[in-house]
Amino acid sequence: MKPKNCRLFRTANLFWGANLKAMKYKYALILMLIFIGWENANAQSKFSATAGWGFYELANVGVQWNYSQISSLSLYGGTNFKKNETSQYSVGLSFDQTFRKPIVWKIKSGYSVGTIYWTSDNELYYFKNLSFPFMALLSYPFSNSFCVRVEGGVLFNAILQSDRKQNVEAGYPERVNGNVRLGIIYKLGSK
Amino acid sequence: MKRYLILLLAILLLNSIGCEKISYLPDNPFTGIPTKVLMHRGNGADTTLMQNTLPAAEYGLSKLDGIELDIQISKDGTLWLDHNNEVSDCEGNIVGCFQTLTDAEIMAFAECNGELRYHTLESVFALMASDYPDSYISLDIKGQYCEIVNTVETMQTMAHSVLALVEEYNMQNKVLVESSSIEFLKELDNQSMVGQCFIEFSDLDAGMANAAATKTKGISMNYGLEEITADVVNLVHEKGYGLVLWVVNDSADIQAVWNAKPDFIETDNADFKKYIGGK
Repeated sequence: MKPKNCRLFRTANLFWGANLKAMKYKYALILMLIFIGWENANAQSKFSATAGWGFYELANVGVQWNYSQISSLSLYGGTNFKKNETSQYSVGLSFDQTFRKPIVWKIKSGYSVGTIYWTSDNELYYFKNLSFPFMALLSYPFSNSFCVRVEGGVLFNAILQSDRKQNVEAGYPERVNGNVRLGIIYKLGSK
Repeated sequence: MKRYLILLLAILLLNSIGCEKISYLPDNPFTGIPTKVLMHRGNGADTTLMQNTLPAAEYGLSKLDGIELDIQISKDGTLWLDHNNEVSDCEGNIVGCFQTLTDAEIMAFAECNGELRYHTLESVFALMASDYPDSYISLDIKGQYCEIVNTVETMQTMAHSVLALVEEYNMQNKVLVESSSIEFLKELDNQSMVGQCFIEFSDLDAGMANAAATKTKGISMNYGLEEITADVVNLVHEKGYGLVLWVVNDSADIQAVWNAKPDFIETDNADFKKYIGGK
C-alpha cells in the first residue's frame, strides 16, 4: 500500500504511533475538563458521573452537570480500545432534558441533543468528524443515586478531514447513522 | 453495587460488537478509456474568442479531442452556453437571469458590435455532428444563483433537454455532463447515452462517496486538490468510476497528469499535446 504523502503519516501517528507527545497535547484538555468536573462533583451533588456505550459504538465516560431538575449538560469522552485494528476516539457535549412525569412505572422520557468530535484511524484511513446526535431517551432510576438510560436516535455526520493512506480501498464515514446508547448515571455526593 | 458493576461490564462487552460506520466501496472494475483532452470553455486561453460561444467551440474542437462548455437553461427550456447565470447587455448591465428570460429575450441582448455572445448548445451539437463526429463534449451544468426558480423542476428539465439533444444529433457516448445537482443527476439514472459525473470540490474520497450516493459514472475534480497518480486513477477505476480533471495548464502538470491516465483532462492550453509528445 502506497502512502499518499508524509503529512498523512504524521496525522495518523497522533494516536497510537510515534508521536505520543502530540497525543498528550491533544487529549490533556479533555482529561483535565473531566477531572475538574469530577472534583467539583464531589463538592456539589448537582454533578453526576456517566458511563455508557454508544455514539459510534464507543465506550464512553463523562461528567454531567444537572443544573435543574430536568435539564443537564454532559461532557464525555469515548474510545473503542482499538478494536479491529481501528482506533476511534470521541469527545462530546450534550444537552439533555428528562421530563418529570414517568411514562410507565418509574421510567421517564426525554431527549438529548449535542455534538461529538470523533476520529477514526486505521491502516486505510484517518478521519476527523463532527457529528450531531438527536436522541430520544428513557431513564430508569435504580436508586436515588443511580439510574440507567437508554437513548435512540439519529447522528448526522460531517467529515472534517479524510486522509487516505493507500490506493486500494476507498471509504467514507456515513453521513447519517441510527444510534443506540446505553448508559448509567451516578449522582455524585449523594448518600 | 454488584448489579451496577455487572451493568458496567455489559456496557464494556457491548463495545466489542457494533457496526462499521465507515462505508467502503465494493470493487466494480471499470477499464477506463484512453485519455481524452478537452479544451476548457471551448477556447481555453485564446483571448481572441469569447469563451462558451460557437466560435470558441469550433476552435477547441479543431485543436483537441473535444471541448468543455458551461450550460444554462432559459425559461423556454433551451440550453444556452454561458458561465454566468446572469444575462447582461452590451454595457455589462445585468438584464435578467437565463432561467427567467425567454429565448427571444436572450437573443435580444445577444449581439454586441456585430458579434453574437450567446449561443445555444444545439448549435454546437449541430456543428459536432456534421464536422467533428469523433469529438467529445463535456457539459458543466451550472446551478441557479442569480434568481432561484423551481430548482428541482429546472434541473430536471435541463437533464431531459440534454438527453433530447443527444438523441436528436446521435451524440451517444460522446457527451459528458458534470454537475453537483442531485436533481439533475438523478434524472440521468438508468440511461447510457451520456456519462454523468459528480463535481467534487473537496477531495477524491468525498468524490467517490458522492458518486456512489448519486449513482453517477464518474467524478469531476479540480486538479490540485490532491496528488493524482496512476495508482489513484486505478483506485477510482477499480471502484467503477471514471475521472475528469480540470484545469491542467502547466507543462509539468500536463506531463504528470497524462502519465496518471485519467479519462478526461480539461485544459486551457492549446499546446497540450506538444507536452506529451504529440500523442
